[in-house]
Amino acid sequence: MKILVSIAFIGLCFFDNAFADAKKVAVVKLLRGEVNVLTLGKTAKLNADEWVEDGAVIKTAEKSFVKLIFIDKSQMNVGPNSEMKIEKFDGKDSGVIDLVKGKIRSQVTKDYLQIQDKDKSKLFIKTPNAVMGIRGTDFMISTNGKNTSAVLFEGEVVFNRLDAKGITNSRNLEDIVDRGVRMFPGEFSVVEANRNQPTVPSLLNVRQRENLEKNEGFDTERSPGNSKGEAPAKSVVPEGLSGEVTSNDTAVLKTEVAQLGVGSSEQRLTSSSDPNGYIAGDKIKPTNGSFLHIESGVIIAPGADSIWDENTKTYLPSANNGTVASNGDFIPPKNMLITDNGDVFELKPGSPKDPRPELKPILPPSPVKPTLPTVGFLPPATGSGSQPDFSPGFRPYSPVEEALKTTNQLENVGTTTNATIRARIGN
Amino acid sequence: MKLIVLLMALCIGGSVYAQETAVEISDASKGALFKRAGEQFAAGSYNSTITELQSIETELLTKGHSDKALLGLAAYWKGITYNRLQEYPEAIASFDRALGYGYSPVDLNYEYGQALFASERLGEARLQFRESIKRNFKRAVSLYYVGFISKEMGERKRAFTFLKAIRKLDPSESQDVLQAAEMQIGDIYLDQVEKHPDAFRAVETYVVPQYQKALETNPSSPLAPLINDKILSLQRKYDLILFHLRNGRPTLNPPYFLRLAQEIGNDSNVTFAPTETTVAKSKQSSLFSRTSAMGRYTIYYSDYLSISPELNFSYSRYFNREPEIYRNDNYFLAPALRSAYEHTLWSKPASILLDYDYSEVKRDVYAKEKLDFNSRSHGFMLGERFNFWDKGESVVRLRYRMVDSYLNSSDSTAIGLSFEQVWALKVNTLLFYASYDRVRMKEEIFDTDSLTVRGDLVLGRVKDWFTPSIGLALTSTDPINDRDARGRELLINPNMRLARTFGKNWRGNLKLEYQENDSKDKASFAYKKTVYSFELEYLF
Repeated sequence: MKILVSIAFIGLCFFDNAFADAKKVAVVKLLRGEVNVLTLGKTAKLNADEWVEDGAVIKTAEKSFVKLIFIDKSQMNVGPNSEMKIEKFDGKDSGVIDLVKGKIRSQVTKDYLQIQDKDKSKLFIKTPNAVMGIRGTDFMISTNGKNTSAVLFEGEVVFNRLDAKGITNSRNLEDIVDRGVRMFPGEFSVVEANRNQPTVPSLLNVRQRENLEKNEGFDTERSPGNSKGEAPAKSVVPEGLSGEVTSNDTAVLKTEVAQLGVGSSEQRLTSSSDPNGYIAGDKIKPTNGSFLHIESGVIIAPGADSIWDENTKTYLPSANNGTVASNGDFIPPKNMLITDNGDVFELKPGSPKDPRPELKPILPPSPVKPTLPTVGFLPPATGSGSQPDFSPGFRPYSPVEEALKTTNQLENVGTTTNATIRARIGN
Repeated sequence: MKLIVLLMALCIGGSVYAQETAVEISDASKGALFKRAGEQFAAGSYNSTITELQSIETELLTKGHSDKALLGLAAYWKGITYNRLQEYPEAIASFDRALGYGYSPVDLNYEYGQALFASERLGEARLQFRESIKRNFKRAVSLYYVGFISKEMGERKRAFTFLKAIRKLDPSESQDVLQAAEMQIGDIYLDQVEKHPDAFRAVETYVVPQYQKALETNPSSPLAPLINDKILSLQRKYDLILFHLRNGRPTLNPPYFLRLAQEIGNDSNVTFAPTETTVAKSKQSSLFSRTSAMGRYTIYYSDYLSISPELNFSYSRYFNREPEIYRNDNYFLAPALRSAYEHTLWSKPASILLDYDYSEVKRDVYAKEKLDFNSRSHGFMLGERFNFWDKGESVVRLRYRMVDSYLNSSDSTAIGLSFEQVWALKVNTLLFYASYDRVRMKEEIFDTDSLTVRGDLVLGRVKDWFTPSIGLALTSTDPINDRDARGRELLINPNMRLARTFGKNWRGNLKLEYQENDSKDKASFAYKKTVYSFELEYLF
């Protein structure tokens, strides 16, 4: 009997340990600043080398950051001012992470769960309004609670709007992401609160993409965009010409380099279709080379004076459109302020640095490059009510307008009216 | 002497040593050296490309390789990459170094010129673009840069010479630049004449025509609106064109209007009544075709009077070739002269309208498959257009018309009073029309008095796809000499139209109309019909 009890006790201990180990899903590899973890209703300070359990909520303070290594060797960096819940990471099914606010940079291993099917997501990341299915990749996702933006550095993700918040079932999430957009390296997409679908993936500004890719640890220190911190120069595009016309396609360079036997076979950027972008109702394709204000999801299209870079199939905006800090943050031009919740302000000369008490936000800038080659500072506003008509010359039909324009009378309002009037008058 | 010999020996020894260390690099090694930079550049990782190229330069220099071509390539490549990063001072330094190594591919001067241009070193930039022209690299754009820079530097003559040179290039080379160059020439002209006391004459004679020439190069280009704005602002500034009448009403721009239309449809019950004394109904349906045109040109005499000659034309043909049907084939020609005298009423723009119109209708009146004289008319109209309500304009008209028909009994005179109102709602537009008409025929038994009320609602565009409009007209006719037989007649006429524009000038209309005339004389005057048609319009 004693033996039986002992065996049962030892078995229970093993079971208990095994159970306890199964709940541990990630270990803290690196930590900066103040990071807390909420497990079973208890908040505790998170320390390096500490394990995080399934269901835990991780909160980072300002300028703080934590790097987690998951049990499948996937790496997840949680940025400053973020809140992330590990909803499910049980090793049996695709994991589900809930990003309530803030940013995540993640490198998910390709062999997680040993899922061979390339078209099946290995991990889902949900935000208040979007869901991303990850299929082995290096990406960044950010939300301010209203808008969610995603940038892909390597691999492949699928991304869509999420309306029903409580879904944790992988199959349901897979159905949702399958109906969304598929992103390729170098591209970004945004799910905006007031639109029914994510933006069509577009190539991010090359400089921003490169700086973001390097900034795995969410370095919040911004050094100026150019290497020496000089004042930005004027555009190389003279008034009257377009960026496409003035650009040099670097064919000469490629020929020179090819003579040394150096090819460009490893081109990593995907050339998104319609590099100029478009707006068709709720469907938005930002211009290739647009900047992304990561915190708010506001897209800033290259200005009309941007030069076309044939090598990357993107526009390279001039300093009039803003620049990129060394950590990948978008730095708006001097006359523009973008807040983390997505409000855009136009700053007039002499405006105080924080104009919000005095000024009302303007409509967000257009995600599509203007065609007029005038040197502009703020791209034309868009949004409901002032959305640009992107088919130039498309005249709304108005009999009144026609009548007033053509006859100054209402006789020509319609043939029926004409017929009736003529019949009555006796024509 | 010994010392000199010793020094010479040291020098010779040193140079032999240097020659031994300046190792030649094989072609394979060269490729391997630049491979990573090539990958980074192709991936658009420009900062990493520069880091890579810098380490190549350092490696080449520290190991004593004197291959100027490799060092030149690294410097030139860095220059191009810095240009992509818009770090122009670094780009300039790199291009300088490449030239120092004697390395100068055909696009170097162009890229170098752009870096200098962006750094506002205009004189140096111009030299580089001139080199680029000599080397036939992007000649049109390089000429433009030289012209533009010269203009910026105040050297108008030189600017003009280089911009004008673009005209001489092959169109395949100059097509993307020519319009902008013509615009710049216009800017130079303007710059020259603007301070002159008689500027308006020169602006009218040289500057505006030059901008118009630029515009004509490609009227639908993205640059065209900018050029158009320049023309308009000059016309406003120098009073070259009348933009507003004295009461603030804008003038028509352009002053002409031309509409061509082709309509194909089906009429379920062909009737033709305008000059006949009965509503002859065929009780047969027929497909029909109607071709029409309308043109008008408005001439302004000072800022208060406008006169607009107008011409209307239409030709209708029925495809059912039964005599009852094809006798309705007709054409209609109607010139008119309309005038408006602008004034203010209740401190708002108003116009007195005075029109004369003439019409001539030919029709297959005898069913001989030949169009004969049907009727002609002279019409006069006196009206007032005013803004009493803020929501839209109102028009009151008094009309008088004399009709001479092929049937003497159908000769008539008509007098009518009408009221029209436009009501602009938030998105939709409401049109209201009411009229009272008295028609007096030569044969008095067919005289009528009638009252028409009509409402049309033009709805906002649906999903940028089409613009719907719906309308209903009610006409009550009193056949004053024939009341016993016909009674008071009521014509109910609902209609619907879906309109869609295609491109800048085309418009398609899908139309549906129903008419039901109720009369005591069921045999001759009561009828029902449905007409549906598609009309394609071209508007100039």
